[in-house]
Amino acid sequence: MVVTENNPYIVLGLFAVIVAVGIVLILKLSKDKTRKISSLRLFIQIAAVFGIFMGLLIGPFNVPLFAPLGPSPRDHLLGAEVLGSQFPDGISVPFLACYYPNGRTVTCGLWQLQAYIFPFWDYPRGYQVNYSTSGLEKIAVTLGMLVAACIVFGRSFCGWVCPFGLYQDLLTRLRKSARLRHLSTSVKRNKQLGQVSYIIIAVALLLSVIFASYVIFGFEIVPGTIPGGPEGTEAGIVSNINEPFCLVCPARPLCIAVQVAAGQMNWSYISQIAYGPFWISGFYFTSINVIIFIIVSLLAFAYRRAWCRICPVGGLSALFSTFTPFKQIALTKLEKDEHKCTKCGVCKRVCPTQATDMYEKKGGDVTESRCILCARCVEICPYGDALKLTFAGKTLAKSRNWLEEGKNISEVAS
Amino acid sequence: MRLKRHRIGIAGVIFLVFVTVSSSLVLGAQAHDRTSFSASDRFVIPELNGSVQFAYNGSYSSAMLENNAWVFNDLMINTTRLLGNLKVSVKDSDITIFSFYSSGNISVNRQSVRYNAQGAGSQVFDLGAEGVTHHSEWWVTVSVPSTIFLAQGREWHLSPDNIVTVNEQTGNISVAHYNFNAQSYSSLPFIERHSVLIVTLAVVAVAAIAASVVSVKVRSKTHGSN
Repeated sequence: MVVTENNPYIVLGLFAVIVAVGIVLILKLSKDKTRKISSLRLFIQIAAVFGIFMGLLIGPFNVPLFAPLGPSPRDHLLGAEVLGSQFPDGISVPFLACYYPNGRTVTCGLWQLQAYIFPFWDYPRGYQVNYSTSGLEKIAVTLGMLVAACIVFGRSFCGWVCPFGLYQDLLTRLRKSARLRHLSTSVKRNKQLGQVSYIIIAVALLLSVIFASYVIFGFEIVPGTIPGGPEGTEAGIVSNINEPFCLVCPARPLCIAVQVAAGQMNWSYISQIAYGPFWISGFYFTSINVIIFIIVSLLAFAYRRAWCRICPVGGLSALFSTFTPFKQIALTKLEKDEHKCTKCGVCKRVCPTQATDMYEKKGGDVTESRCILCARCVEICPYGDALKLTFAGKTLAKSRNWLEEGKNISEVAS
Repeated sequence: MRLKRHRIGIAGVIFLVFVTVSSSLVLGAQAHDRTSFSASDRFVIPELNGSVQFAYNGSYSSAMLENNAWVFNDLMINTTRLLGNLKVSVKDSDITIFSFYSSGNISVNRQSVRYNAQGAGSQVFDLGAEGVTHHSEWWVTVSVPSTIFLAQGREWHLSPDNIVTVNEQTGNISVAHYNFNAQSYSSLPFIERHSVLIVTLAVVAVAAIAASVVSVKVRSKTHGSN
């Protein structure tokens, strides 16, 4: 069987079978009830990395790249060939998955929102793709996909799928293996951090609107931002101010590193243009990306899921899944039975984002904006049925009476 | 029956021998006809005070100076191993070509050349792009040292016959073209043109309605059990 970029369904089918088998094996073979969900989650996170970058699984790997942006067969993989050219940038998703030169299975929703304001508002061409619709229509599609995804899955993307979340989880495992305790922020500070994500979203979108002022409002606020330009210049498309958040996003260097490691991108291709002023490394990431990546990595080593607390993409999910009316109709929820909770506080201790509602709230739906639905609290709660992860009213996972098995809380909740 | 099989076998062997011999002859002739060049070879254009050089060794089937432009047929640079026809003219500058690529198929047409230019003259390329191309399909960049996209109509020009002229640039320059042969959307009916939006809105509506129904059911069930 020849697996090529022209045959993504075979690859997707194989991939789905492998993942399904893996999930079943973990559920059947994993004996430790306090690690079962974590093991499953790790497996799904790793599988998601391949799913997100489906191009990684599909050859040929020696596609000749040429500057400035090397189109490759993967540009058509899912973005165009399977879903049609009207999805040229891939499916919009509420987690950090960079817009790649190779492989556009899915793309970070925030990237799409920014890019469709500036520089591609009403521009017929994007990065190696053609657009058929106006900026407003593209944004409506992006928002629609985000809303649909968040109604169904809430912020579980952060906990179960996001590649940068996986990276932070691996840092946590590294810290644990070094027998170092994590640091915590105060509850008040943690809540304040949650607001930062909305500030980042607002700034990124506001800057995009300012840069796109010519095509939206008819006058240019920032010089050199007219797509197409009076002389037919491509200023708007090419400037280094495109997608402002992406220029500082810590996930970008990591995403590129994954592609380089898998042989999807040629390192020399990146390094050739990775020079210049310190704030501009190249097309794919800036020095600021790298600096912030290093800082966030250090923080995530000390504080569990440090980035998730201010992540604007996570904030978008939280916006859709936490506030009414979305909260009322969200299908994936964390629920608590107040009669079975003994207020031992272990759920609060193990929560990677330091969410507290599952401890403080009396009962019912205890999903909050910081909750990434990782279900670590469900897994670790030692009182049967006290905490549940539910989907459409059906229980996906529930806490068990594992204390009866002779374990003690402090042993597993470290 | 046995004799028939025997004949088919002999015919098959003869066919294979024929294919092998003829293909080796063709390939041999092709290999024989190619002229190699090295990185030190310089293709001078005396009247325009310019020259073309390649950064790597390579070969071509023919190269000639026509109307102050070097025409390389079946050019192959050893680093890229790709064949294509390149026509290049250089005025008041010396260029060193790093890579060249030219290809067209059903789904994508792409051409590119990367070179270093010394001397702020001009370079004119015919990369073999066919049909009518739009300037937005072309990307011309220079690294000085960060990569800057040059303005069409000012720093570079595209003529109707797909000839690109780069003016007064020095450093590492890339000229690339790609076109994905996308269908014309404007001629499609309204529903097809906006199908993605319609489908997305339908998905959102279905998700919201289904989620609302489920939530109401779950709530009433919870209240009932209480």
